[in-house]
Amino acid sequence: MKSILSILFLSLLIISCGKKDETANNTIQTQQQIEIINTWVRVSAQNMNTALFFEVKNKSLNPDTLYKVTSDAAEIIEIHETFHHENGMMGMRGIEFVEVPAKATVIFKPRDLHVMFINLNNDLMLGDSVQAELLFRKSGSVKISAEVKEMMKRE
Amino acid sequence: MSINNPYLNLNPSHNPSHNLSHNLNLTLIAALLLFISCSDNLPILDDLSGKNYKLISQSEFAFNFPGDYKGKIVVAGYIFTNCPDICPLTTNNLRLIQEKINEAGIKNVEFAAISFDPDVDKPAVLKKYAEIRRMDLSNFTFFTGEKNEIESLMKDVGVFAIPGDSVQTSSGNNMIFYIHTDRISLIDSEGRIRKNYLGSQTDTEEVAADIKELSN
Ligand SMILES: [Cu+2]
Repeated sequence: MKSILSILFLSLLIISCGKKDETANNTIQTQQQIEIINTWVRVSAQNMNTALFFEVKNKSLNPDTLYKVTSDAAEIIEIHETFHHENGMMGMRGIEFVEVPAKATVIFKPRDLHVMFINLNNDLMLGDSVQAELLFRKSGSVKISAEVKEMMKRE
Repeated sequence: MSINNPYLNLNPSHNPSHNLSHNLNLTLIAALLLFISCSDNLPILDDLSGKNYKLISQSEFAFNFPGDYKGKIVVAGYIFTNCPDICPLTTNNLRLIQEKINEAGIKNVEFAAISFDPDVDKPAVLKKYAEIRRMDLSNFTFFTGEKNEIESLMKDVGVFAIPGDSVQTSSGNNMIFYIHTDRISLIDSEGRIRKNYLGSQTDTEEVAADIKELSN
């Protein structure tokens, strides 16, 4: 009887420990699978447009997808890409989502992928910052703060 | 004429030393021709001197382009203010060239950012666009104009802008995003286009060097 009780107790301990470990792992994964670095947004004026840039680092073994960006800074927010047209012309267009492959980094940068802020609610001046939320299908929401700059660096 | 005429060597194998000097002469001429064509790094691509497009600046003064710039070298970029990615890069490149030229103490150079979206880019909009970027407007002007003037100017300088995606804002505005030529042009003091660059990725050192060449 005594030995049965101790086995039961031990197995309960194992079960609870296992459960605890699993939860901890999940939390760590959702928080750290996606890392957003080098965030910045370009100077622009109220009622005009601007673009938000950053790097998405996906550290997990699974791909993830950025499908939406929200912010109080602008009326409309879309994920865009700049493209080359015939005769050296340039344009941009909305895209539904951006996939970030496993163990990879996708860079949103000038002349390339950007998050378009349309009809800004306020002037965005040098040194200001903009809060935004990036929504990923697997990792959920990632909050960021982006500094207002003219360029990432002088090019 | 005899076969011994040293200037008419019909059979080169008879006089190998003369043949060598003849070849040398040809090489010199070829080198000279090459040198002449290379030094002309800035051919005339287009002559706007006979044209006078009526433009309006961000501070609402009327301007004849390029006539009112006569005697000055002009660096012109083509933009629309609703453009968030390419045109701010072009504007910033114009600013970087302006800084280099001002620092080098070169006078007689003007900078122009001309909008191909005059429906939206009224002078007040251009003014705001310049102010938020803290542009030095001492030798830099933003321009707009009547639609037909802008259209003929863009046609003549070879800048295309076709409507692409558009969005409807809550205020009922239909905002158009243009697919457009990405360009900065260098115009000499006689109103002639001497070189075109990719506006959003211009090598600002290259433009500064070309301005120096034109101003010599
Ligand atoms: Cu865009």
